[in-house]
Amino acid sequence: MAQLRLKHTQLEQAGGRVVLVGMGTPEESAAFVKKLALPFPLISDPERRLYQAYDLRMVSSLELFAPSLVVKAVTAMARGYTIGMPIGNIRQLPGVFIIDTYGGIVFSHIAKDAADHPDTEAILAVLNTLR
Amino acid sequence: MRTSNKQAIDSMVIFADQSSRLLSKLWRDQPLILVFLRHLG
Repeated sequence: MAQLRLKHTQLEQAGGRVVLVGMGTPEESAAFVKKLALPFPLISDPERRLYQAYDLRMVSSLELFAPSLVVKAVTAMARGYTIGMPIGNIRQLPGVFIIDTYGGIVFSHIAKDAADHPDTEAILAVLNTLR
Repeated sequence: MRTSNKQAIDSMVIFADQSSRLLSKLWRDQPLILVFLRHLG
């Protein structure tokens, strides 16, 4: 999220439109957008229908608290990233898709673990191929 | 020009502002970067 915010202008200049999907109700989602002053629209998907439609993974409790992830979380917090009270199923993993104007999926990143995020430079590179 | 054979799934979606629209409306004019969050928080 932090990387997306930082690269927001570049993503828009590259022709992309960023839309977020979260597991909150519309009310929870609106509060989240307001709290973080998000510059992106947020889809409310409390029943995770879209998450399932796009085949995003769920992890087991064992995977969720794997030592390697705990280290990544502590490192992120040391860098100033904060982790608030989660809304949604904490076993749900994230993902990013780029969909072209014909509805084709030209980039997909289905997270393997909770700390697996795509590089925004890779997203920009894909957008540049669509121009 | 079409660049992918894998078609995105379309669906009616609801936004935080309680508006709703088809996902396909969002990618019709410009490429859509659809970011699924792990959680809100």
